[in-house]
Amino acid sequence: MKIIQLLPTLAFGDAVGNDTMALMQVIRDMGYETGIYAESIDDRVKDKAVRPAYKIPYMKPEDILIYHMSIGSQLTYTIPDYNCRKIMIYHNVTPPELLEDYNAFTANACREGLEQVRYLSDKFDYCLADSEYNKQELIRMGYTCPIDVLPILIPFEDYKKTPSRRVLRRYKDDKVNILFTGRIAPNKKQEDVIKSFYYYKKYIDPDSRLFLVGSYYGMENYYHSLKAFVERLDLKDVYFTGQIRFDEVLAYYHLADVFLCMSEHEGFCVPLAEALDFKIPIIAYDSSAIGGTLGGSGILLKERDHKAAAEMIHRVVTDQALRETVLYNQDIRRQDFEHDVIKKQFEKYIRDFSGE
Amino acid sequence: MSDQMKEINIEKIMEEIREDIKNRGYKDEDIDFENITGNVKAVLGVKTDFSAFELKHAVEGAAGQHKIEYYRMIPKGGLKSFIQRSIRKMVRFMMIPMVDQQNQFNYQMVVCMRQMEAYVNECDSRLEQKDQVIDGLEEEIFQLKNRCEALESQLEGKEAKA
Repeated sequence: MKIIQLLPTLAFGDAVGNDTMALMQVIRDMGYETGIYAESIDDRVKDKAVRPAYKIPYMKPEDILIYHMSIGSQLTYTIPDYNCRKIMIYHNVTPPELLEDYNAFTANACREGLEQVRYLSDKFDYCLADSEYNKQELIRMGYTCPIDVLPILIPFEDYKKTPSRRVLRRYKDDKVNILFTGRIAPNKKQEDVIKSFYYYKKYIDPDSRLFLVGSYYGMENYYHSLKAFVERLDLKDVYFTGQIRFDEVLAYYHLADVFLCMSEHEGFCVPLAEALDFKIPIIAYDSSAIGGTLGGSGILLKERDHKAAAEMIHRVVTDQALRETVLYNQDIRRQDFEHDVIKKQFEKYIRDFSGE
Repeated sequence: MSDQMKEINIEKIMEEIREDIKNRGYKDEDIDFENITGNVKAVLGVKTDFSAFELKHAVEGAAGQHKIEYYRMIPKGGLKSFIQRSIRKMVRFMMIPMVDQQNQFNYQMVVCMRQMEAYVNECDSRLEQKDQVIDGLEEEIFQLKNRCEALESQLEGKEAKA
């Protein structure tokens, strides 16, 4: 029996790409024949089992096709043609209205994606959702097949690598470093992170920095709007890194005193799990899957109040007892995302589904 | 796992924070981002930082998408689908040459961007080589300065003795 994964784009280093590669390893370890098939494959992915989607092998009825759904693609319409058992892993699709002002093309792909999620509602035998939020969304869209929650498989071992010394040298001082990582995208509301930082720097601690780590590829309009916003506020010490090397990302996590997330829409939010691993206190606005991913840890803000966010940063930085309690809770939550825990969960789901 | 966590009274902290906000003297300021959203004039002239990764991404993205297809798959079933597929067939004669022309243009653009990317990479590697030479020369100057200082102090010592 073979279990293959199909997805529109296999990118290098993004959440879906990492999850797909990590799951392939688990499937291999389980002893099944496997492979990843994608319409577009990042050059940096070096694995012989990763092939273009048109090379997908003949699937027997007992085989399993796992489809990763995160954006609209013509591949979706080929799903009913496969005469095998089918599983969808739902990573969520960003609501197009959040992207429309900045990238109409991506917004349309998301709109198409949401239509396709509805179209696929009766085409799968089983679904795995990254979070409870994603699961509820599938149910709202008419999915009646069994659905389980499987958090994204994160290779935490990689985070133990040596961070960039150059970045550490440049910023290792007494300043308070506030961090948000993730693509520069309107659904992640980086403008709210900047607003909160504006109040913090102006009224509370001028000796502070904000690092916005993440690629702005495809969202250049939004990136330039954010840059214009920072200029208009005459705000110093805001750093947009763009896409950087992995050891540099690690260095920013090592430097951070607080992780601030003001996202409007997340299907899981891998950077939160990363911040848990780096033992950085998290302050996050409670939207979409964020509360679920934090699972009672971190500090959740119920309102999008930038002054309150700034004051909360101050609290977490200065109140040692609060900081320790937050980190204690976060460490408990981090254990839920450990590689072995998620791996065992996935193996169990696959065994139950395949009946083997 | 949640039951093992220590309780944090967020409501109490928020109450204290509201009090802090009152005392901090925050001014009502216009920090509205929405004025800038999608406003081309507002973002014109904003300095863009060069990022080799972003350039590479953009070139790869363009290369991967430069060839567009006129043919769009339409799921079968229903009158709407039939009409859509009929229209697709009817406009085929017009769409194909337009798409071909566009593809040709896109191809030239990708070649152009690849050339520019290669040029940037070439310059980068030349710069890196020069940096290494400069590093070596700086180290040499540092050693020579030290030697000079040592010789000067030796000479001063001898002059003092004489």
